Amino acid sequence: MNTTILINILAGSVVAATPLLIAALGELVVERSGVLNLGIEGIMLIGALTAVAATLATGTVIVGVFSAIAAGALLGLLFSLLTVTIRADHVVAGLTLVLLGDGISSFSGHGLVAKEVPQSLHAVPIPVLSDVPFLGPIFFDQNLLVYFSYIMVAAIWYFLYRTRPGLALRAAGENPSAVDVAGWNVFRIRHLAVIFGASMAGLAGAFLSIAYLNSWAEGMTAGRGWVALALVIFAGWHPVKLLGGAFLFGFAYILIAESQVLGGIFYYVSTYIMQMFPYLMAIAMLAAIGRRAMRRRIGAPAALALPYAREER
Amino acid sequence: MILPRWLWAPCAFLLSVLLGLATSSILLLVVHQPVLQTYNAIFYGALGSWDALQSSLVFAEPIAFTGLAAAVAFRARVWNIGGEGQMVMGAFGAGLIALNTSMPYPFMLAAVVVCGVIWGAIWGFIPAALKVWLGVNEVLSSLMLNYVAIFWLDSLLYGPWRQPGGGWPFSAYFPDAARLPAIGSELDVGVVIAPVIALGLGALFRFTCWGFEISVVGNSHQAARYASISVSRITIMVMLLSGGIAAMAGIQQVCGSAGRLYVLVPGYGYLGILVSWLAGHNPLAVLLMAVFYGILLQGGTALQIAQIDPALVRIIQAAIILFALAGLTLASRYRPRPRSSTVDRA
Repeated sequence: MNTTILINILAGSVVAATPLLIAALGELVVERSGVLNLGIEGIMLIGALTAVAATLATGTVIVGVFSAIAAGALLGLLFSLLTVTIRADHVVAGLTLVLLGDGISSFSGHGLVAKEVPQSLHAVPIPVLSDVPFLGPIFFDQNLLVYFSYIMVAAIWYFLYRTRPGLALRAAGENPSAVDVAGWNVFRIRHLAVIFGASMAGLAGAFLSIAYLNSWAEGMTAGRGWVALALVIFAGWHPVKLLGGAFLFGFAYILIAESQVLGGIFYYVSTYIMQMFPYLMAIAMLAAIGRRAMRRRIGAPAALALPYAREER
Repeated sequence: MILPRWLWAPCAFLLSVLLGLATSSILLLVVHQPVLQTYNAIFYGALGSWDALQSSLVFAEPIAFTGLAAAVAFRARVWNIGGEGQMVMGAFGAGLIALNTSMPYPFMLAAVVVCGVIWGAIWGFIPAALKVWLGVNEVLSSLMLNYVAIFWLDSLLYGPWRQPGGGWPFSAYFPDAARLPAIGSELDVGVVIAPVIALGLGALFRFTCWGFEISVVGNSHQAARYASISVSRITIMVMLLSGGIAAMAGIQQVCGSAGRLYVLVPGYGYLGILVSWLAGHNPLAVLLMAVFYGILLQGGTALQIAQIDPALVRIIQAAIILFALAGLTLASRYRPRPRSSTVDRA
């Protein structure tokens, strides 16, 4: 395999990893605040559809991107009302959100199937960095949303570990009563975290439909929302560790897409068997992490998926 | 309180359905769809005649199985989201016997069902084992296995098991000895099996030691350990049972009126989870909720016949579920408490 092909494949992996990374970063913040949002898959679908619809209607990709973020935020608000205000079960509310997103997007998306987005996000090479041999074209000759995902990794790390609101948010996921006693509003923290996470999921969906596949298809997220959830666990709820996991899965997706081109043993393996690969990989990684987590007692925020009620403080 | 305790949940559900219908009417008006015509078509298409009701029950059947499967696991608070995959593997297991062996009638059908149930149970066992021995979150592992199962069946249906000469992803027809006995024109014997399983589970939960252990594990792992109930053992047994019951949904679909393997309609596994939750994980209530959902799904088909967009039903479903989720949560919180305090509804 020559270097050009390798660079293409790795650059493709970065693109395939970006929606996973964006969605997982959002979910990480949500889970750190103590809420488990299993509905990412549904929000991503709605985001993907909204982005295509808005882009086709206005002819501007930027409008598409922001509409998807807004749609995600709206679903996030719905989810946080259910889980934080009404204190409904997080798992059931999340699954409902998936069914809701799937239903609404396939209903409203009938007219948009296979309509190509006219002008999708194109690559903007970063002047000096993109000239770095090998790594340059892989990481720094990408579209703006890819760069945004890099920045968000750093920004979320900084927010969580170096600011007071970030500390309050992490504490809300570990011991909400203590946060409440310290004068922070647990409900507001969790509402905002969920809305932020859902906006990121909406953006991740938009990336899929207008920067990656360039059109809308029913159920186009194909489990990526769930993979993002698994990534948060692999990363041990740490934003920087998400990068590695996301790139690994991006690589897996690209291998599937390119398996016929690559030839060799890939040629003989049925594409359906190949498609199982990311999911089997996710299970294997969960098992590997699980063992380590059990030994070292690292893991989920202590109050994850536990509704908080003041009167029970 | 005027309302007896046990009536709170059903009343909250009915109220939620009404609110859901009201909200979806507004949504329908917003997207310029005929409201009354839509409801009319759903009602008559799903309940208006014996044939219509039968079609609704055809939809309700697999949901009843996946719903019962979910109820078993959720009672122990084991989050089995893998009903979909266990259903698909049930269909695979049935096909494995039906397409590759031949036996006289009762043995053949028995072998088909047993093999399907075993494969479903295996698909339930994997996440249970991963959870118990490696601490893997069962929500994610069981969910990932859904995709693995679906792609596995796809690879067979687009590969070695595809009907010779056929372009579509169907297997050859199963021999008659492998088919479930039919009831009426569209239904099969599964419509009787589901209530039998529901009654069995109801008795299990209510009268047996094992059912009690499941509830203890579901309420508190700590209490279970104090009572020297092994959480690991219950987790594994519950997942085996859940997987086996979910497999029935797959077996029923391929050995019923279809009579061959095909790419199963996705979603019944996930609907089972919702149905079970709406029913408070009560097996008999699961049956009622499954029928309710069957009516909604058949309503979608009826809309198609009436040349109205069938996906409208999904919007109505979504609205009803959201209200039911909020309504049942609030009802369980504000319903009058019995003397001894009970744990909040999951």
